[in-house]
Amino acid sequence: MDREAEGFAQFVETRERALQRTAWLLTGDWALAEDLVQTALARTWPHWGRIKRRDDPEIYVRRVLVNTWATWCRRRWRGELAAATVPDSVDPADFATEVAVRMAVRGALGSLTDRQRAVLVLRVFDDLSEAQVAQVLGCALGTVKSTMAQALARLRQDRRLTELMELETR
Amino acid sequence: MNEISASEMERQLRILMNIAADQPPRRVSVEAVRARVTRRRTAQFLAAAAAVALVGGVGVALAAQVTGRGPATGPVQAGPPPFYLQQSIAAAAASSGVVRSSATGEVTATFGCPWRGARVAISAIAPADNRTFFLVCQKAAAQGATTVITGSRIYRLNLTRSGRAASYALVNGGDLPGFSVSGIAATPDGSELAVSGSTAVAATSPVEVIVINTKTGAHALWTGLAKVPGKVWYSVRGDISLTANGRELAFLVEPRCVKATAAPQCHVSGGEEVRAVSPADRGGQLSSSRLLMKQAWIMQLSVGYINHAVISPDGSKLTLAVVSGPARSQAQSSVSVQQVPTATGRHPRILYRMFTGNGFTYQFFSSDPSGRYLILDAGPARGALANGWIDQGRLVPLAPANGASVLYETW
Repeated sequence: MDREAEGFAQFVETRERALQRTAWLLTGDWALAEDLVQTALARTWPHWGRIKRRDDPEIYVRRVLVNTWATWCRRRWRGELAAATVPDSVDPADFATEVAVRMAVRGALGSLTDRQRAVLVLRVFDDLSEAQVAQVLGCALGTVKSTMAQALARLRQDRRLTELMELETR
Repeated sequence: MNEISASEMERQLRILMNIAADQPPRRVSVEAVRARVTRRRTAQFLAAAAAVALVGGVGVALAAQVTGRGPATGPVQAGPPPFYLQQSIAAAAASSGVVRSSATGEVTATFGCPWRGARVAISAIAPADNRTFFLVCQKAAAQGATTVITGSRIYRLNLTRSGRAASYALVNGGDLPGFSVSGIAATPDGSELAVSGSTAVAATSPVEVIVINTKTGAHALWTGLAKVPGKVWYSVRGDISLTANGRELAFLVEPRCVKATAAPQCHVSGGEEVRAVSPADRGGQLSSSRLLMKQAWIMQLSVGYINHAVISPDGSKLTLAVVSGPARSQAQSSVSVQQVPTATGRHPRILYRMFTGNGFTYQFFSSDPSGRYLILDAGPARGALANGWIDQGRLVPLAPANGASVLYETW
């Protein structure tokens, strides 16, 4: 394996889980998240050498990820969720709290516009700086700030989410 | 909610998002990505060919084959277990350990002993499935200048899907007063456990292996031979392993001649041995075990040692952690993980080898319940040690990357 291929393999090895988690927050579905990450990585791989020389690979991959997701959002099949098996399965552990949090977060993120959701996930979950978010989304710094403020204002109105936050504060 | 500042709200959202975006159920592998790139290139080539054909007035239908991509997923490969338990030097002093995410290295929980005054025995953790582990808690008491283990208890630790400690439960039949545990193995369904050790009162007691049926609490005892001058004595190491059905119990032994003046001579050859008893839940004498392999069958005895041996879930293979010093044929020391079929015990396949220069440090080796994902912590005689899992001949790092401070890990 040449050095470039090895570098890409290491990147996938170490970052795919983090990318999948970001993708889940964008799509709200693990199968789609997995598909989104695979697609983003497949689009990145042919240009890996150039990306490594010119750019921060992680920022570049996230940019492809968000752009691909934005493209998917505009497509008609967005509403389809293909599954070979019934997604529900019995879990022996008590994970009611986790499910409640997951439902609330997914619902709250779903109430945002695509751009607001992308800004929020990149800024809050991935902990990117505002400048990095602007770099990923290809927009101005001011746009990131205003979009973030709008997203937070919208989330403050989400009752289920605010209840969870109040519990967290206590 | 209005009184919460934007930064506080971001902090809380981060916590909630971290809980909500749990560990992905499957891994995205490089192979899957490459396969997708190949498909894309093939599709592009076919599209170009179809366009040419179309211009030529033939093969309109060909174009339809290469269009229309949906959200179907490509091939994905199951990854290593999502979490691993880690005992480090610092944590051992605090009689606890941590649970880490395999993907990010993030600490998701700490674990300890629910038995007051007891501590988790080092290396005495057995995984059953990806979220169930068996821990050995031991209590010690000072007896003169030494410390003696006064008893052991085995607890079942369950993790949540996000790697937090969900519950501890004392295993049925897991209270072992007066027994000092040195190793533990579990079947993947957790229905059977095996613990090796000895009765704490006598440090020279022969090693025993207790096989525990966790449903009924029943014990089956395998006893080692007492030392008899002039006879071969099998020094059973702590590490033991079980097949998935719980029938075969494998263990690593070192045969030694017990010497004494005026005792008849005895002779041992072939170095360390891996032996097995079956059925494990019957009990009996460990000396009635059958030989699976000898060290001499895979290496020169003067070169190194087998430090650890694990039988595969189906009983067909032995996975060995082997250390070797510089030999004539190779100028460097090495630490390797090798597999041999139990049918022959010969012709090892090397899964991973690390050359360590002059000398080596070996910390530990462990396997997940499937026998597929292996953790190794080793390195040169001085300096940083590599801590990671073996994937197609490479060592993929686990946190912390320098394994010098890690005493044991398992998943």
